[in-house]
Amino acid sequence: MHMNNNIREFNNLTKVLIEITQYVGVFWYNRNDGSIKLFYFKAVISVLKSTFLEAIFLNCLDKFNGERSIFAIYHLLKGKKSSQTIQDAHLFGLRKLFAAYSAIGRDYLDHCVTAFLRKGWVLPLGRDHHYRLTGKGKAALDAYLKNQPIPSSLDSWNFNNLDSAFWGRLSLLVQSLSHMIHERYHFYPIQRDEGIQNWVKGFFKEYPGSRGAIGRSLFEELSTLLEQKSDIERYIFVMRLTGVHRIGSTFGQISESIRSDEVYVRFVFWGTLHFILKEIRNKQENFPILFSIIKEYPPSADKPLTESARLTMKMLKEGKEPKQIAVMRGLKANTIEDHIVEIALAMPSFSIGPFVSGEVADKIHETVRRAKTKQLKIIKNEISDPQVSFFQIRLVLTRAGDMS
Amino acid sequence: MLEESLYEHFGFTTFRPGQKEIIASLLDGHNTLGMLPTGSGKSLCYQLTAYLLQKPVVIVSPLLSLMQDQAEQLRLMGEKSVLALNSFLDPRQKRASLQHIKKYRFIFLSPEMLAGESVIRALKDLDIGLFVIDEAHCISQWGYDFRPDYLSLGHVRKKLSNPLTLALTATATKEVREDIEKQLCLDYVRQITSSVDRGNIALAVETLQGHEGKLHRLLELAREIDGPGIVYFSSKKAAEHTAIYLKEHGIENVAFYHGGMEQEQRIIIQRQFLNGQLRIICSTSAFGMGVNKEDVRFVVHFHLPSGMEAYVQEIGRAGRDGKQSVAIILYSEGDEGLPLHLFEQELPTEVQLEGIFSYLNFETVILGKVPEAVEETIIRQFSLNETQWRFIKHFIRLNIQKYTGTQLKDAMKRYVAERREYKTEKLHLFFRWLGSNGCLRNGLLRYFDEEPAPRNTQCCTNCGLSRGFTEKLQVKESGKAADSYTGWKQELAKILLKAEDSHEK
Repeated sequence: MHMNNNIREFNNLTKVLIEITQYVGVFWYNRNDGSIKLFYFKAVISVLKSTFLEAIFLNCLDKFNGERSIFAIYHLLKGKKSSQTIQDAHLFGLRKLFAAYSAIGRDYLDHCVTAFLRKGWVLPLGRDHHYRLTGKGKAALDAYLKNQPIPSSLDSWNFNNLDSAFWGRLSLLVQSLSHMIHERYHFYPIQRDEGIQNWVKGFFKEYPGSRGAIGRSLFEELSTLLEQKSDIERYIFVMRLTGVHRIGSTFGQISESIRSDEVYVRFVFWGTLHFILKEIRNKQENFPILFSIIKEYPPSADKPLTESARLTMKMLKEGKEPKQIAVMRGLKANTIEDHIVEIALAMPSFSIGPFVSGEVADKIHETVRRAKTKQLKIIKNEISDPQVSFFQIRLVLTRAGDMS
Repeated sequence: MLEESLYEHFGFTTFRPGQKEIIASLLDGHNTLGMLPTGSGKSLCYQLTAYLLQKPVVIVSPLLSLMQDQAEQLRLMGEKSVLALNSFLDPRQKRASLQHIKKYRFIFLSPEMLAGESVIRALKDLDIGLFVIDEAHCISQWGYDFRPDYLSLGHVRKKLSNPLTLALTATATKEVREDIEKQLCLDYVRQITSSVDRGNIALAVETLQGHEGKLHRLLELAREIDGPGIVYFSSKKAAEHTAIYLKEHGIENVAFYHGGMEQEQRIIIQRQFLNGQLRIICSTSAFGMGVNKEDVRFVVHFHLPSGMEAYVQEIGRAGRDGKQSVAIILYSEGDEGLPLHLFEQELPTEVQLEGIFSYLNFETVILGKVPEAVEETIIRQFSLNETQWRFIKHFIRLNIQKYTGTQLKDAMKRYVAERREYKTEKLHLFFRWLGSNGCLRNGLLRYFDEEPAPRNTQCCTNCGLSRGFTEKLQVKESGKAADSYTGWKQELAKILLKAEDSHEK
């Protein structure tokens, strides 16, 4: 009766949201005939778009502080492997969100920013698509994050790629173990990728101990880790797992069951995985089963690095100078410099010494602290030493930690 | 005796109709065309034959998901030597698989894999016992799901020195069956067909008032019928919205499913449905192929299927356990527009053809070297969809030796017009059937050139279904509802510990 306005009419309707405890009422105002209808929904999330994603957008707008356009947010969440995006992630303290939500749509971002503008949450700046958060916007962001904080363990920069590989193997390993322990040898695998299936087969061939014993150890390993997490994090993680008694839940099903927003559920889940990954890497000996899932992946292997930067790195290692590399590859010197900055960001062990002396580095650090900005131009003007290049400033900034 | 082997390998004591005849025909060395209705165990025909011949079997399958399902089912039965070659393998995996191809008993291939020389070379080294073409109606231009890349299969067969061949399909009219023989260059073929009729599925067409009327009726049905069901939609959005609508009106265990979802989430939904955790799936036609669920009690078409063949395929997912089930079309006036529109998009229009032919250099098409940029321009400029463009390329490649220049253009236009006329006629037959007052089951059989079926107690809405009949549909068990959640640690224990161990926790 309520949904008779089918999809076509959706666009003609403006919606206003009122929240009354757990119930949410939505007024549909039909521009065509001026009628207003009020519907109630028990489960909000299924009908309305994510509000958590809005919080993420506000958070990025806040961090970029008008120094980047809204497209930088899009590229950041998508995880675009460009020097610009990678550097932005570091410079503005947004590494944890790099490639954190690749399903993001440009239209939805646009739509949200327009809504923010209407609500007076953002202030348009002189340049196109550049906005700064207003006091009101900041308050809205704080209110969002108070309810649903961005998981503190989320670290998409470090674990992007590794997390889904880890999850694929873990989920199938758990499903297989669960069935074998309960003497059920035939089941439909929850992961279809043959690479994952072969890995699990290989695991059972190599890993010592009975299935029951492995099950108990894995139970202990996971329990130890989950003890350190909040109720909601544990709930989401456990519900995603498939065992002999049930198939795991989709993100949508979990979000319905806890009446929360699906994107939020996803972020919490990936945050928990990142926590697990970090722990098992730091304390390998305590988590032998979990660590064996990722042991073949070297810690820095999945850092986002463009192919071109990878080649530059190889040539640097062979002892070539940046200028030489530029000539040999027919690229601009600037491009090679971009690569070097990218490499410095991806590899904490990469020494920037050959490109900037300790003395100059100190000077830049000092200026950044004093001027409280990440805008290169301002920093360069402040230093007022023509010998110090933009390239050097950028390089030093890569070593300034997550400067948020 | 074949029954003994059947029992030994599969644990069944009797064959389903048609299976034994097909296997016997193959063992006698005859190329065979088998038409068995959906859900009647088509794959068993080549599986058992493979064990009896003791030679590798090559199976060409049109859809990746279907191929994966079949490979999975074989592995589930404990068969280890299964290979699925498809474009998702990376080059390294592909090379490794081809190197060890002799290890495998069942080799699944997508048709595009057969275009590669390395694959053909590897296959030539094998002593192929049986060459199977699954969903063989895809090879026929008259079939409802024509796939141009299937057209090269006849040629491939020759290259592999004409191995013993089995063409399998669930729904093919006489014309389509003849076309399959011709396209596969099979000289002598035994046709073994069993009726498309599935007696245990009652057929219903209900006329309702618009979208709202359908929603209400669907809700009623979801409340009445106590078993698992699939509801088909023609759009992703409609599937999603209706799933939400049902949930909001108190129907539990409903989910939507469509091709726009991430792979992992799709697999979960499928598995949950198989496992009884979900009862109703609101889906596009992407759901169902290869989903081997025995106790689906009802299939509803919220929107019309794309034609009679698609209808038969889709309702065939009900009642595989042989128990009474029902297929319901929810019709409202004007619904015909949708399948008409969909089919319009299958083929290029005359205007598009004119434009393309004035633009394209044919030599590059034949050599298969249309630069990507050019391809993109053409597709955009003439607003072609992928199916249309694939069709054009294949048509040119296949006919370039016969015709030149404008001749080729005219040939294609003729072909398109002919095919369009044929399909339109078929669709109108389907619409007429939909609105007819006669027995729906016999109407369906007539469409496939079959004799009328013996009278069924629960036949169709035109013959009259008994009142409240849907409420009496039997359910095998009340489903395996997931146990309630008592806490994360208990849940984790349930998964990873044996019952006696978890008590200690």
